[in-house]
Amino acid sequence: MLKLQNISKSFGGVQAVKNCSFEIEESCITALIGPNGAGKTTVFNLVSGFFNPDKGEIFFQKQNINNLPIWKRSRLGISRTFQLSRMFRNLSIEDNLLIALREDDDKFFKMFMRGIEGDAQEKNRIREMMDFVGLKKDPSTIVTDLSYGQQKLFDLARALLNNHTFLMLDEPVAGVNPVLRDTLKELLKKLKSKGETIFVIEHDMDFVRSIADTVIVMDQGDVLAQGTPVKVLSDKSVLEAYLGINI
Amino acid sequence: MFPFLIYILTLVCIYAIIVMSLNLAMGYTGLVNFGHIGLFGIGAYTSAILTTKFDWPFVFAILSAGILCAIIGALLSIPSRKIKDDYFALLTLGFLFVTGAIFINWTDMTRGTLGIRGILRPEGFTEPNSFLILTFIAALVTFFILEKVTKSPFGRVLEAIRDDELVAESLGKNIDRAKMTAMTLSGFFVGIAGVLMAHFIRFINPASFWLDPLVVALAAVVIGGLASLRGSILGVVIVFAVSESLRFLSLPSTMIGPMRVILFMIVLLVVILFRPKGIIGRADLD
Repeated sequence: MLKLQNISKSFGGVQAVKNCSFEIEESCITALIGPNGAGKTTVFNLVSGFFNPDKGEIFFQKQNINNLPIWKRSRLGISRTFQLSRMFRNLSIEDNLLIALREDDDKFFKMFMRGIEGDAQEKNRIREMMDFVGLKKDPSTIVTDLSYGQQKLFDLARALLNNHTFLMLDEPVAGVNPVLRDTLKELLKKLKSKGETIFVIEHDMDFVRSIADTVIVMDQGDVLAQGTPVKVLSDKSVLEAYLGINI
Repeated sequence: MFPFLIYILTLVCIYAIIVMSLNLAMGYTGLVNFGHIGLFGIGAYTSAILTTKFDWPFVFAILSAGILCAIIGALLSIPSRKIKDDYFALLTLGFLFVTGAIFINWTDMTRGTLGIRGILRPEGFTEPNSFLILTFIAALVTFFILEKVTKSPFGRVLEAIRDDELVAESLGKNIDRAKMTAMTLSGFFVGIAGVLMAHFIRFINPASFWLDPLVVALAAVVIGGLASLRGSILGVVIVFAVSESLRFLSLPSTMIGPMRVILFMIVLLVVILFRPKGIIGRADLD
């Protein structure tokens, strides 16, 4: 579904990603792990289109997306969350989610005659999604009133409502309590059973082991290892680079 | 007293259009456009030149001015793709300086600092009372159109862009097109306000479109509240009430100007400190 071919990206003198290549299969959960500064989020940002690679090519569903703007990549089906929740902070949960749900609301003439109230079907869909992720809040709540854990759930709901075929989650369980972590784990398993393709950055190895079909390990901007969690997490070079264990 | 009230109410209606259109760009879309008053001036000069030099009828002049300002507004939005936030505000301030320089130096058309005199009011609206009705209708139409825009799903996308344009784009929104649309509409309406001002005062010069009206418009947006059209109208009313109330105090004439600025700043400071969203605004100043 997604293929990175010899991707490199530098920021000034720092080479964040160098000659990185890997592929992601459809209907699988692929985890991207690695020490801080390994280039994981940069890879996410390159795939989303926040940065353009200095070198190399990115293919999504066999289409080269190197030169596509962010919004076109989203419309191709790439949806993502952020390491630290980013929200439309002056808007309600419902408004935030309606923006994710509606595809053509940036078209002025088409939307000019429509009222801001979502129609019943769209509002129902939002409530269903909030129930699905376990976000128990009044939809009219301003998003900044959400707690950290609720923001993580909100992030997931928004990424799911955005019309997509490929879901990228940047540290979905970072800093959340064990109960919420288990909830998110079950949610991702449910999504996988529905055929979702998920690409996730995560540091929690138990979480990765329990959900991922494939693990890609990055170190210093390059892919260090790739394979099943059992194989990768017992790889000597991975244990040395990531977990700091000298074998 | 009565003619003075009509004069003030007419100015309030014109400024309401300026401030509502500025709020569309600044409060709803997050594009701080200091060049707004430059567009106001372009609207005024376009209509003044077309009606006094080329004898165009008022209707064609107002439409041409609105369309020209809409186009320039659209062009002004293009740099916002790369230049963000404070830097965009500085760029638009530069645009205001450029328009000021054009008004002063393109003497063949603008008569430079001498300004353009003898701008006639449109037929049927030559009296102050009837011109007030015209400006009131224009303000009302502006309000209803902008209310419809901002209360539509498109308006919500503009607010999303204001809050976090990268996230809005990552949700599939063509933010460049949306920003351009907002600036086009904003430009159109402020151009119309410029035309009304030129035909109301019947004399324009470069000083009419400089920093003073910009300060009034920005203060009204902040006091009334970002992302609120009703707030914009309220902001204009407060700004005019504060500024004109000094006329009724027995102050020496040399004191009125400085006192007006001092009062203005006090109101602005109080609002920013105690109500960062403005009186009825929906977005904060961050």
